[in-house]
Formats: sequence, C-alpha cells, structure tokens
Amino acid sequence: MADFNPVRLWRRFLAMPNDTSTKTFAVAFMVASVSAVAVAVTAVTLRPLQAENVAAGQAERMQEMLASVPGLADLLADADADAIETRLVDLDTGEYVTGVDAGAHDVDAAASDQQASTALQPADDVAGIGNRPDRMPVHLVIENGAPVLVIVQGYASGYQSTIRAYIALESDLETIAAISIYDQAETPGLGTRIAEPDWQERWAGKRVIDEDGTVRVSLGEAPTGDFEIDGVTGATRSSMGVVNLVNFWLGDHGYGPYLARLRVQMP
Amino acid sequence: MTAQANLRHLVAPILDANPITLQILGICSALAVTTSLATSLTMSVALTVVLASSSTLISLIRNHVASSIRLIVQITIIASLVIVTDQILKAYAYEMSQRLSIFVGLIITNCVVLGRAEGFAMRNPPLPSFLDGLGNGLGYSLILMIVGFIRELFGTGALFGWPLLATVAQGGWFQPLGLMLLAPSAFFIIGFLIWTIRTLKPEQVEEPEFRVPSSGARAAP
Amino acid sequence: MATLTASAAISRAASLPGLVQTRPALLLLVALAAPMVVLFFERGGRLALVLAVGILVAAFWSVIFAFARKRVLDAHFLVAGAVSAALLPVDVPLWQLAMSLSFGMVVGEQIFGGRGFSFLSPAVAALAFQFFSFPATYAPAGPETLAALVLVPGMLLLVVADLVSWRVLVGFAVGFGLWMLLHQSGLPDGSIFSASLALGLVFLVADPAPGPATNSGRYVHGFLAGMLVVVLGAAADGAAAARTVVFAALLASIFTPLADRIAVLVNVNRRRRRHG
Repeated sequence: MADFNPVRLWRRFLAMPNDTSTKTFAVAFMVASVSAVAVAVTAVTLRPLQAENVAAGQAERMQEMLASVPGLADLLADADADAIETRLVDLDTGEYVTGVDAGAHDVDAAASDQQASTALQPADDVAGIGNRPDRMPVHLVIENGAPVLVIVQGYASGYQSTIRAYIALESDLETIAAISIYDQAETPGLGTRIAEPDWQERWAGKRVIDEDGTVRVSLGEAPTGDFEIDGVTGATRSSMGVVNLVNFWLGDHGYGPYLARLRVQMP
Repeated sequence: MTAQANLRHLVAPILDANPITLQILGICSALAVTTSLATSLTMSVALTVVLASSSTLISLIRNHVASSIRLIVQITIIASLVIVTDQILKAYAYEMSQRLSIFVGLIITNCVVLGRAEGFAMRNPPLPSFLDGLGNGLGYSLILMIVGFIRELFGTGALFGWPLLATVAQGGWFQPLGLMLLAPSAFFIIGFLIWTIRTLKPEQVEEPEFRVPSSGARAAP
Repeated sequence: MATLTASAAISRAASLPGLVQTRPALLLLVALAAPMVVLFFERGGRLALVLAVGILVAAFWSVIFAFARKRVLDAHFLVAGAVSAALLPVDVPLWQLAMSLSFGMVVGEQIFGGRGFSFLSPAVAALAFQFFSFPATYAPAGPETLAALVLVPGMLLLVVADLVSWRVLVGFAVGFGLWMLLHQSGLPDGSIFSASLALGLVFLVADPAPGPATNSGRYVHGFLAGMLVVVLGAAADGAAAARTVVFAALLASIFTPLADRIAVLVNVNRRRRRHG
C-alpha cells in the first residue's frame, strides 16, 4: 500500500456497500459540502447586484413620487444634485440626530431591535405596528436654503399585509403634496389598487393637519373637502390602512414632535 | 434505451401524466403565482430548471446513496438548487422576484420536484431522468401558463401587462372579474382543465370510491 | 294538513310523470310568490326582466345536464333563478347575472351530480361568484320590510311541508340572538333586517337539499349561519344585507358536512356502547 493512488481509492470507496456507515456519512458529507459551496458562491457573488436592486427600487419610488408633485420636476432639474437632503430624526424629541449616516439607517432593523424602538400602547397604536423605531429618516427638498417639501416615511397594517409609504408634505406642513406606497401585498385587484397612481393622486393637496396641529384624516363616501379621502371601492380595509398610516406617522407618536418643531422654525 | 423511449419520458408528463392535472401535485404554487402571465412564466422556468437539474444530479449519485439518507440527500440538492435560482432571480430579475415573493423559495416543498426525484430519478440513468424532469417541468408550465392566461386576461383585461381589453375603469367596455384575481378561481380553472382532459382522455378517470345508488336515474346501465 | 293535500294535488296535476320533479319546487315557488309581488312594486318593472333571465339561464343548464345524464329534471332551477334575481340589485347587468348563474348552476350543483348531491345551494354559489367578481355590486338600499313580512306565511307552509327544517330556523334564531347580545359593540345597523335576509334565510340557509342530513347538524347549520350574519353584517358596516346572508350561508354550508359527520360518529359510538 505504499503508492497512494487517489483514483483507485475513489473507486474502492464507490465500490463499498451503500449502507455501511463510512459510505453513508461520506456521501452525506460530500453532498452537503458541494451544496454549501454552490450556495455560498452564488450568494456572495450576487450580493452586490442584489443590494443595488433594492436600493434602486426604493430610490425609484421616491423619484416617482417626486415626479408626481406638480412643478417639482422643474425645480429639481434647476437645482443641483444635492437638492434632496436626508436626515435622521429622533421621533420622541423631534430633533435631528447628528453624527450618523442617515442614508444607511435601516428602519426594519430598528423596529425589531428593542434598544432602538418603543413598544406602543394598544390605544396609541393606530397603525397596528406594535413597535415603533425611535429614529426615522426624513427627506428634505431644499430650494434657496429652505425646505419646500418634507418627505417622511412610515408603515401600517393593511388588510393582509404591511403597507409602506412616503408622505410628502408641502411647506405649510399641513397639506399633503403626494403619497407614494412603495410596498404592500394587499388582495390583488382590490387592495392593491391603493398603490395605483389614480388613487394616490386623490391625496395630493389634501389638508390633513388642522390649526391645532391635530392630524385627522378619515375615509369618506363622497369627500367634499379636506380631512377626508375617498377609499378604494371594495377595499375599505386597505384604504383604511393608508389612512391609519397617515394619522399615526404625522401624529404625536410619529413625526408630530418633529413637525411641530419645524413649524416654529419656518416663517 | 431507445430514442423513442427517451422521447416518451419527455412527452408523457405533458398531457398523459401531467403532474398537476393527473397527479394533482404542485397545486399550492399554481394557485399563488398565476394571477398574471409574467409571474406564471417566471415560476414555470424556475421550476423546470430546478426539476431538470435536480433529477439529473440525483440520478448521477443514485447508486451511492444509502436508502436511509436518500430523502435528506434529495432535499439538500433540491434546496441548494432552489436557493441558487432564487438568488439569481433577485440579482437579475429583481422586480419579478418581488412579485413572486416566497414562492420561488417554496419550490423546495413542491411535491412535483421531490416526487420525480423519489419516483423516477432514483431508479433511472441520468439522461432519462433529465428528460423526465424536463417533461414534468413543461407539463407543470403548460398548466400554469393556461391558468395564468385565463386569470390575467379576465381579471385585468391584459396579457403580460399589455392591455388587450379596454376596462371600464379606463373608459372601455370590459368589466374585469375580481374573482379571477383571488386564489379560488385557480381552483375552478384547474378543476375545469381536469374535467376537459379527462373527458378527452377517459383512461385518466379514477375509479369512484363509492357509488351512489341510482335512485333518480331513468335508465340505469 | 289541508295545505299539504291541496299542494300535493296541485303538484300532481302539474308534474309530467317520470320526466320532471315539480312538487318541492312548486311549494317553494308558492312561498316565494308573495314577496316577489311586493318586490315588483318596490323595485319596478326591470325585476321582471332580471327574473326572466335568471330563470332562463338556470333552466338552460338544468335541462342540458338532465338530458346528458338521462336524469329526472328537478324544477328547483325555477327557485334558484328567481331567488338569485331577487337577491341582486335590480339594476344588475344581465350578462353578469347570466354568468354568475351559469357558474352557480354548473359548479355549485351540476358538477356534483345535480340537485341533492351538492353541498351548496346553486343560488349561493352564483351570488358568491357575483359578489366576489364584481365587488361594486351592492344590494338594494331599502330594507323592503313588507316583502319580508309577506314571506312569513309561505315560510310556515314550507315548515309544515318539511321543506324548511324548523331546527335550522331555531338554530338561526339562537345564533343570531346570542351574537347580537355578545356583540354589543359594532352591531350591524337596521338594514340587516330586510327582505334579503328573510329570502336568504328561507331559500339559501334553509335549503333542504344541500343542507344538513342530521337533526343536530340542522341546529348547528342554523346557529352558524345566524352567528355569521351578525359577525359579517357588522364587518360589512351594514353595507349589504344580501352579501352578508350569502356569505353566511356559504360558510355555514362548508362546515355543515363536518357537523353531520360528527353527529353520525357520536351516534354510532353511542349505539355501539349501548348494544355492545
């Protein structure tokens, strides 16, 4: 047995009866190793591409929403590339968090991290989300040094899924400029229609915060003016989810303190 | 092992032994992803690729797997192939992978794949196994495409997202059938397909488990 | 019992021996006649058109399948068509009604082998299809209480003739009442007490052919349906009584075979224990 011949060893291994423990373990081990390598190689090679896709998808929704605000496209075209500024807000105090990269803030990770989130009392939990992250990003569209559009983001339980949306507020901080629902999995053909432009356009120009600073939006059969929105036919729960989202995230437990602070600062 | 026998492995599962309509396997994904043709097509391709390659790989090692661990070995191979497919979709067809959500991942539990591995690939050489996997994948795809076609056309008036019938909401005449976009409609459509196929091919009809005494019949045979 | 003999006489005269079974359907039609007349006055002439299309479509499928299977034709399609028409808004597009009823008659009844073989009432299947497919279809706004009231004598006739089980009605009343008490918050508003509810109760929930086969099953079936009317009625914000009662009947029908099965098993066990 002096000469070591891998081919002959391999042949001998293959010739062993299948149900000996040596061969059983060896086969299992080899299958597992080859599979693990294949999976690992694919995952690692493709990760940068996937991360790009996720980021691109979110940025695209943001662009879509900005494009839907009248006059904003021209404004953005005129301004330089830094016209949109993303900052992180401490929701409890309403102040900016400094010294962190706001663009890298992961809302989902924060919501599931007990250190970085607050459990909501059922009575306050209008949006049905359980835990609320303590810090949330805000995107400001700046013109001549002053924000013309304040974009906040939030999520809420719909009929059968979590609805995620951007809410763009005009500079009076009481009127919605646009809403963009960028993630939801409601009933196809019914609830999913909340993500269609037709319905989202109904929000544009709606006043949702009254003089006292209270957010009050509700679903109306035939809305006549502000504070009321017409739901999607046959998808009351999904429409209600978006209404809850707006009520919660612009309210006291959402961006309310931040908006109040901003209101004082702005002329 | 003639060419004709090989061809039979490929063609038989498409209509004569279709995994969905004869064996009633893989129904879960057939309900979930068939709301549109695009998702049906992606799912069909993903499943066919996974099925053909898993059958081939399992057939290659079939003579060296102890029967005590054969199921876990099959599952490991299938699961790895599925993860790879899912990762590729996420990298190169992100939009589509978002729409398919978890259903590509759930190919692992699709009974068609494990069924062919256990029922065919473990006992046959690589080439017939590959053809059998491919044929079953195509049979599954055929049903998915038919169901997806019907559901998207009548549920939204479009095909592959292209509007064909002008819907009432767009000022046209077509009133989309909301039911088509809900999972039960896929049950009905698959049911009707089975009905049609078994009417055309009566040899697929199963023996009834029990017979109702024919009370109302005028002419009992 | 006078009513029974009289109705038997009518149906015997009207039936074509061996070809068409008319007696149960005829009695149901007698009960349906009075509320229909009232509905004509309340909803206007188009109801006649809706009714005609409903009955024609139901007849079409029943005749085709009876012919193909060489079976006796059950005239119950008259009731299925008429009840479906009555529970839909009077301005329902006729093609929608035709499509829903085709679905209901084929998938809800004929596919199982015809009347008596299915676990669903074809009208329930048809109406559920309509409400799922065209979510914008709402039932008429008015409660039409008069039509509900004139159905009462007909209902009594059906109970006496054993075409509506009093056990289902009792179960329904108990389920409905109990859940109304338990559900103080979020009660369905008054529009639930309507002709739609009454028609749905008598012709959909209490339809004997697809209904439960055991007496305990009948109580359970009625109870489930009554409870579901309250729950679904509250969830629908009182929007549509017809929808509520159809979905209640659908869900109750799905669970009834289970109730029947349990009742039979319990009975078998009890007898085995008693008789060894």
